[in-house]
Amino acid sequence: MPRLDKVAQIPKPDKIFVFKSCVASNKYPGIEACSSDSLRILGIEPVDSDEQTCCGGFVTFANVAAPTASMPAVARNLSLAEEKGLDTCVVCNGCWTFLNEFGHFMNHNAEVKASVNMMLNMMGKEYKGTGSVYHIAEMYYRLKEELAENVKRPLKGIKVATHYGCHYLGGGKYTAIDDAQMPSYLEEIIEILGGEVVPYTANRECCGTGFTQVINGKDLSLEHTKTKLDSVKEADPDILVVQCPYCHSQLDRIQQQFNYRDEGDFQTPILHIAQLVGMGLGLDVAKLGFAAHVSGRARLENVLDRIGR
Amino acid sequence: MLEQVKDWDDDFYERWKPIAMGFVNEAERCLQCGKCTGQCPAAAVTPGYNPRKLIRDLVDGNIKRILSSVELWQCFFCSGCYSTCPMDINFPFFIFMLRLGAMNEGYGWEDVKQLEAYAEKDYLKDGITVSIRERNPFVVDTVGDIGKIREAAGLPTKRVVSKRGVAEINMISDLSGMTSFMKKIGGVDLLDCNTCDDAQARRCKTKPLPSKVGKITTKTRFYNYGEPSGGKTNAKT
Repeated sequence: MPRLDKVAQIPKPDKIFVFKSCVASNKYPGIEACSSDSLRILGIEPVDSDEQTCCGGFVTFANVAAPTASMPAVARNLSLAEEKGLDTCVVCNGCWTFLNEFGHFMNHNAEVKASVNMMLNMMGKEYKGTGSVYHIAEMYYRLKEELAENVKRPLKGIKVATHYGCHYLGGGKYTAIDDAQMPSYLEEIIEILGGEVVPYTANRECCGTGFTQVINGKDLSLEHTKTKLDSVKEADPDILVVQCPYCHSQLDRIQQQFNYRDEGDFQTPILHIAQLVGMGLGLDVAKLGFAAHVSGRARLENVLDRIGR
Repeated sequence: MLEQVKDWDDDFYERWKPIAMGFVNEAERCLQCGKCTGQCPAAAVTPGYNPRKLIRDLVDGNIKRILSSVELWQCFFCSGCYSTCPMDINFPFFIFMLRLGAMNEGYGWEDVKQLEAYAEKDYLKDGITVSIRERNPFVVDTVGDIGKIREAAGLPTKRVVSKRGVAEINMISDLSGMTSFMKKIGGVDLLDCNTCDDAQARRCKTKPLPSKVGKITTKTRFYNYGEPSGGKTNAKT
């Protein structure tokens, strides 16, 4: 059950700063296109900036950069939205936790904030800590009335399973809008869009990326993803919806490897929540960017045939 | 400070807290309930990995074991332990700070070297950490030109971060000591599917599935993490 008091605190602004994610831009462009377009349909004008860089979370937690380097990078990105007087909307769990946690850390440590601002002042910027960071799934849940009104392509009879991703519910234990162990807001969004929710055993399991384990501990990562995908396959959903592009990338791309090794036939299409909402809101099929998906393309076509193109 | 680490160090945790930037200050509250280990994805695939033991040894001062253990580098950073912890211990931050400590002691550089190129060749060069190059080691066939898919979706062919943005993060990197730290790491060339040769491609695609629990070998360059053999009585004074 979502924390409704927290949900009520999320504003419904006219404009929002859309923070572009690196995986969404460079691997699954559909996420980037759908997030802006769906917000526009729901009455929020997306604003972006080409000065915005990657959040820097990956290089920090890969221990390539110390937190001393990441604090100013986070502050710089957040100050871009603050300059415009807007809140930030992100599509990636990693960006969300990283910007939220490190922003929170700076807001409550005056010394760190002062030293960060010393650096930012050199480039004519300042971090004040006035803006908030929201995940796009939170925004959809907040705008569920608007969402229900605007459904053009109901997902009638489509079985959808959910995967929330660790860094939203786990990392943001107190800032996320739902409980870390038994979340349900994605299911609600799916029902609003007209889909049918399918439960499966390993719902709360990690996708297996394991942050850097997909590079350093390939075997561990692969073994864990197998557990997850086996459980998904048992429930046999038409679509597995995720809310993090990194989980999207792992679950989508690794299916191909298991098929190659004859370790089972995995053909589950993975969709980001922005793409699912975009599909429900009747966005053009090209906008959904399904051409970038590696696994389950045939099944996606079948879904589109059933709900209309 | 870390250079003087002994096998057992009664005050280590107390002395380490302030330099861990306020991220780590609650390990002594650990109840040893083991909920963290129970839900841990890394513990599910690695028999030796145990967050509960790592916290215990940190507080007890069995620090050399932690810093030199292979388990330190097996964390998935999923924050599941933090989400179930009744005492709100943010264990992933422990791992993060302990990894920096371990690197200070000379452990784990091989792992970090693999990742340095992401910072040097993508993050600091283009401002975007994950580039369009296919670097997932398990992808058999790529989907082709992302630029065309972006165009079809109504986006610019390539996402470009402005020169000013890239210059600013480079400036931050220089000022905060990240650049010099990266130089120390060195780094290796990452394999990617456009540049790897036939032999590498064959190895990549025919690599056998990982052995199941029980057959996993511990990397020899680290100590095997396990029950401490000594205790305060055996510690060097």
